Amino acid sequence: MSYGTFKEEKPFKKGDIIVYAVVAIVIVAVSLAVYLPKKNTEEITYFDVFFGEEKLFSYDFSTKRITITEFGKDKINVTDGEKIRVNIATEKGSNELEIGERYVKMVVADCSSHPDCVEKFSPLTTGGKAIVCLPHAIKVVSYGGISSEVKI
Amino acid sequence: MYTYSCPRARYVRVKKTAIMVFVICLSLFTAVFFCGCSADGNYRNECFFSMGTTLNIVAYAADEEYNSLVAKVKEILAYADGLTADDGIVAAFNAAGYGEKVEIDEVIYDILTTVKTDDALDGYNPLTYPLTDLWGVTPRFDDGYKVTEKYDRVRNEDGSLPLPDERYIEAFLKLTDLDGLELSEEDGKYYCKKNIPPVTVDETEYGAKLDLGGCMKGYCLDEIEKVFFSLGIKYGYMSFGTSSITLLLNKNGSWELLLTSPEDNSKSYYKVKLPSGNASTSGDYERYYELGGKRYCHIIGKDGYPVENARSVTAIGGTSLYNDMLSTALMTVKVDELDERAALVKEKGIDVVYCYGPDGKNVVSTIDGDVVRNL
Repeated sequence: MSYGTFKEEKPFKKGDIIVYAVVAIVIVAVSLAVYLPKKNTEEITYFDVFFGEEKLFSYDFSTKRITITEFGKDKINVTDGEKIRVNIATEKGSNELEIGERYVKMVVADCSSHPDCVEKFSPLTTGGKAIVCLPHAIKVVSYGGISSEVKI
Repeated sequence: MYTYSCPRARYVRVKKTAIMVFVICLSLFTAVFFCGCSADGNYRNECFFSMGTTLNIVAYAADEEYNSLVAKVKEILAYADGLTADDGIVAAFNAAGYGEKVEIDEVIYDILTTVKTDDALDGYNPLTYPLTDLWGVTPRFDDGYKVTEKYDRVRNEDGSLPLPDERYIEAFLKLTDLDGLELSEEDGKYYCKKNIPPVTVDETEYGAKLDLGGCMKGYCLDEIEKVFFSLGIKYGYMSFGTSSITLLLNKNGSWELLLTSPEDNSKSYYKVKLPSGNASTSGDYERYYELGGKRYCHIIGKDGYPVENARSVTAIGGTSLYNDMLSTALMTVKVDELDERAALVKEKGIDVVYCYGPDGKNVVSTIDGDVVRNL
């Protein structure tokens, strides 16, 4: 009996190749299905609010949970509802944020009769943006998917 | 008919296993590659208070590079903020008397040299602070304004200010003479001699004052961009205030740069696609008041009065520092002369977009191609 010739035969039958191809496709498809939606979204996932450089609170849109820091606890007042309202009161003044399904915006600020933070900043709907009330040293910083739209 | 002997069976088993492992590994590698879940980082962002406004940086970086970036950004901002601190260079110049030689640094020396010699920047003047303060459009008028200077006026109920005394306009105009800034370099040190005579109005003497707020944001962006590159961070952007931006590459393709509408700042009047680049906007909507139906903005023209030319000018393509100064300079140019000035800077590779008219709906752009649309 000769053992040399078997190396010349194809080790895979058609069925083998089909199985391996299906395995490869399933692995890639499952990975893409899980990760691509996260990769392509430009949605905001959470935001932090600071007074100066000290964090007052964070809000996570997926858990709809607000986490107030020790520093922020006597400066924040939260009102639940269809839209969440967060009032921020510091020695510099008062601001109010409105939190919706996937956005946050400044709706009230007593820094001036035409506050920039209310009138000039759009609601934050994506990551990498900020709303700032300079006179009150309040900044709202958003995190999540980065939008390709930028504005000056 | 062959039956499988031991060596054959072993051979077939090993080969099949090897190929199966290879296919699975290739699949996993492909999945990971497409998902971008690699070790090169994620988009991170942070917002810093500086120079009376905020710097927003967005960087696609791993932890180590990002932390290094943040540390360097803080150093750069500390330098810029330090210029106007009580012991800073700008404060020293502003406190200096007539004929006094003040030591500056190479950065300020280069900026002032450029301002004095570049015709394209004609109209940008870092000595207009006395006039902008006279007109009531400096930051101290933003919040809790109190009458402190002899030329201050009590605010009207609608938030506007009565017009300033023309004697002050005429006097303060004399303090804006750029020729009075005598720059020199000696033994590696840089100096600026304040050769601008002070003026006296109502028995009070006023001296020339430097204000680099119109260009230091751009300077900082240029320096931070260098840090991005030195750390190998290629994707992201940074915006200083609402008027200056530096765009690196975008992982999702080109950026879409929107230009703020002067009529409704929550909207935009123009959109341009950019793979990367710097842009800076100056407009009459950034700091102003209206009196008698007329707008008085924070940009002062060569006649000492707030400008009434284009509503907004954006410079795209130069360094951030240059764009900052250029966009302000072009706001001082009459609308019917803007095309000529825009053509001058187009030769330097800088594009200009501006809008004019009561509603800002007349739009002119020197950009060729890649314009998404005029909104």
